[in-house]
Amino acid sequence: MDILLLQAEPPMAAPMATTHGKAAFRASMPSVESNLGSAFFEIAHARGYYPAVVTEAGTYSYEWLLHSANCVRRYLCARPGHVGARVALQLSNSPEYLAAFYGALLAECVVVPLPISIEKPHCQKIYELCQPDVLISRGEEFSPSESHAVATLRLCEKPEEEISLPPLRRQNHDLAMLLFTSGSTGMPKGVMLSHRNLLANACSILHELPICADDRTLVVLPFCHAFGNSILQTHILSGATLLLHRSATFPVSIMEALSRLRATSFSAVPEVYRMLLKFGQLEKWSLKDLRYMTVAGGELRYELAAEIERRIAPASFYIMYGQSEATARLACLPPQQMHVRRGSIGKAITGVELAVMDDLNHRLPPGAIGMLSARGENVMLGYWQDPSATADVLSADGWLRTGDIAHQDTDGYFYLNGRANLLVKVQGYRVHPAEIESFVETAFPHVRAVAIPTSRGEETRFVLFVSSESTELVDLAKIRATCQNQLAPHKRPIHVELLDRFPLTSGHKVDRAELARVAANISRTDTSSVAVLSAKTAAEPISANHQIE
Amino acid sequence: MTISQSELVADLLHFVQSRGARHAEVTSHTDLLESGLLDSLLLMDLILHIEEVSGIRIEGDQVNPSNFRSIAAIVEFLLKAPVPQGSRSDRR
Repeated sequence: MDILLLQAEPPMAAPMATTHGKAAFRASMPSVESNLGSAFFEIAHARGYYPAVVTEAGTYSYEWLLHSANCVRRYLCARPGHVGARVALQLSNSPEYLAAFYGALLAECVVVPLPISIEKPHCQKIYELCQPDVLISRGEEFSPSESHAVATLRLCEKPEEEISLPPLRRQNHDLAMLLFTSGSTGMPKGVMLSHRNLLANACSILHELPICADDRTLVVLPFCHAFGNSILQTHILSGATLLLHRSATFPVSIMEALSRLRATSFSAVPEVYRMLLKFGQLEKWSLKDLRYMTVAGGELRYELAAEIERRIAPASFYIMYGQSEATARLACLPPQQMHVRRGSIGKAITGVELAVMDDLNHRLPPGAIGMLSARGENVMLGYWQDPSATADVLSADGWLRTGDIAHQDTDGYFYLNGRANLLVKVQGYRVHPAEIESFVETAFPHVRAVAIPTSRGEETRFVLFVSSESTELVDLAKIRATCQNQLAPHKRPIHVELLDRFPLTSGHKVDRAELARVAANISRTDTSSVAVLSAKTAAEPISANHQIE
Repeated sequence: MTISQSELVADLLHFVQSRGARHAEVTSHTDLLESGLLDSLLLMDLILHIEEVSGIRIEGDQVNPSNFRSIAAIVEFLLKAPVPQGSRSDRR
């Protein structure tokens, strides 16, 4: 694998919107029969000097983006066997990310976006699975290793000869992107998305949301995430402007950025909205340009959604639902329905069919609880090199079993009732407890680990229970340090507890429900101090060795 | 406040230092923002933790970059700005 480092130079002057700009431009709906690379090319060509990306360093135009993507394309095309080759991106939200993404598509490669905070062993597993030919990163985000050849490409503003659309042989059903996510077993699975998948979902979202060419959306979601990626695609395909906000840490800085950058829209996961409600002082800021906000990637309680809606009025609030296997989004609750259909995730978006099904994939009537299933051109091709996992979720007639348990009302609005597996959402990221458990068990072979999600305030965090599988003593401090040092932040347990043995169910499996009760007790007490615990199951007592540091 | 200033500094240092390899080196004057150590996950956990150990309720206008730039800055604002009663309109 070779490394390509991109370096976008700060733009010389802020390009102004020209005759292409403002109300004059209206992007036509992209055709799902086309190729995402060529759809990008046409829009970027038409938009010219109009701002595509705004960062703290300046404004980058569509022309800059087209020129930069073409530089990346030329680099990739010079490599033998580049068609269909995997190109991994390890880039934070930046102009370089966009140049790399569309450059790789124009070079007919397959984009594999990876989170910046990914754990090394997890990343290695993904590399082994998809064998990327090139990794594209930025100097400040990449730690070089001697085994890789490193090239650097400076992306600067320079008047370029007219760039023409290269001939693209990739068809719309060909693979465009591999989105790695947690599968239902905790192993990383590569969601295979075709050009058609990506274009179809973008079109569906453009039908539901009032996105237009003069939109300026503030982006805090990472582009490597399905939700973040859908914001990127829908706005670029509309010829709109992405306002990149580097730090979503402080609620007030999000509000300040929304106001100062005159954002017209904003999308985030429920955690961010809860933070904004608590500490964002929403009423203090003038949001005159704001037209709407959206939430997806987890559940936001009705009361909180209603509160957001009230505070951002007259702007609207859209509740959406989706998953990576369906490219991004599947359902949308129109703002006027929020109070009528409390707690609903909405109706299927245009181009998507949603149904509640039983175990035999038969549709259930309204009111009945079953597996929420989806069908449409946005449903993935399958999991990368994993036909059996694909067959588990994708039926021959194209229905995707989402893993979410739901019911619908008589008007076709859906409501979630829970999960069919152990996956949980933390900050919009899907996490399977097995990811944390296998990480700990690999690092400490004599330890058995069970990770239990628990509520901390309104947030979800993990408590880790460990037990010795041998006579060796368990070094809790070391386990805790290893988790804190090597796991991605959203997977780190807030507490590690040693048990003599795990409580078991009558089927002799670890009793996760019982551990969840113990975890709830722990997270209610101060997590930095010694937890006092006296958990007992009906079947057998468990003793907890209180941790001493 | 039910906890002394030095206890609070020590407690917050311990809380932040246990967050990761890069966090282990934090001192009370380390710039948490410049160093990129304070993300939204840590900020929310930190606020909840402070509220639990000190009994102080943190208000919306206090959650800003200057108050949370370092552990020393956090402790300083906690000591300086006792929460007036009845000004909790931002809290849900």
